[in-house]
Amino acid sequence: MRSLRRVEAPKGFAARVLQRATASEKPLPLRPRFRRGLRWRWIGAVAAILVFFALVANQVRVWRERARVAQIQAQFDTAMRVTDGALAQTRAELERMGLKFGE
Amino acid sequence: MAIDAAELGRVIEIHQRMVFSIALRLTGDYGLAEEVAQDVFLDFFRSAEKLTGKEHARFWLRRVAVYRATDALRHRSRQPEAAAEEWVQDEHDIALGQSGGAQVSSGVSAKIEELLLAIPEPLRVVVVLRYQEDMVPGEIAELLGQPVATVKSHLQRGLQLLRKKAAVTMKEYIR
Repeated sequence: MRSLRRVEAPKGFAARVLQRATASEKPLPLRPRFRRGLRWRWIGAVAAILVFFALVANQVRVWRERARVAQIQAQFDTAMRVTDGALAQTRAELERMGLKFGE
Repeated sequence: MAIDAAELGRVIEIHQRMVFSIALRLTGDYGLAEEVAQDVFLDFFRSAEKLTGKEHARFWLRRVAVYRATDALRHRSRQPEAAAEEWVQDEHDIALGQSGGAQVSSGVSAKIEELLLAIPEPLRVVVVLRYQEDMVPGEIAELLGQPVATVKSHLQRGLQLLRKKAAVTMKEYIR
């Protein structure tokens, strides 16, 4: 096992490493990581905007529905009041004529 | 310990044999070993500011060389035995011949290199660090982040495997 001596590096090895080192001043692994992070931030931002618009749209729909229900309710109340008035008037006239209504 | 290109050059001059040898013995591929060694020094250039001194730098270079070499080996997913032929024939005699004071013939050395590449990667890592880098099990354990007992066990199993394989393939050298 004593034959496991260190081996000489290939000729020009140091020069090649230095060339690569000076060519890439910025760490190579950071760029893909940065891009990956940026991409996820974009996806997150778009998702947040979509959720926001979905919530707003839903709220608007609820408001419109409530307004429509309130309007129908008001119309129904008016109709009931009109009907009550007409019925009271008819009953009064029938009583004046000597007829008992609803007995 | 932020460094410039000139300082990087000095670090490469001092440690290139160590880093390249680790990469070569773990990958068994001369070209891949150079690629790995280059990447190790580039990583060093980028991370040098985190290192606190020469000893730390040496420790770091060894550790990254081991990790990068094993990663490259797994990534390439090829049989190291096949790749070993490429450099054992071409480079081995020259490289070991330059070391001087060789106690064993180049034929035996080449055989041992071949056998080393045939043992499982975790065992090979430990054997290379022990017998190439002259590291004790405690140092290897610290470098690899493994318990000392595991390192000792890997070392023992690695040597056993090497002996078994040597007994079969190196009959002409063993009496």
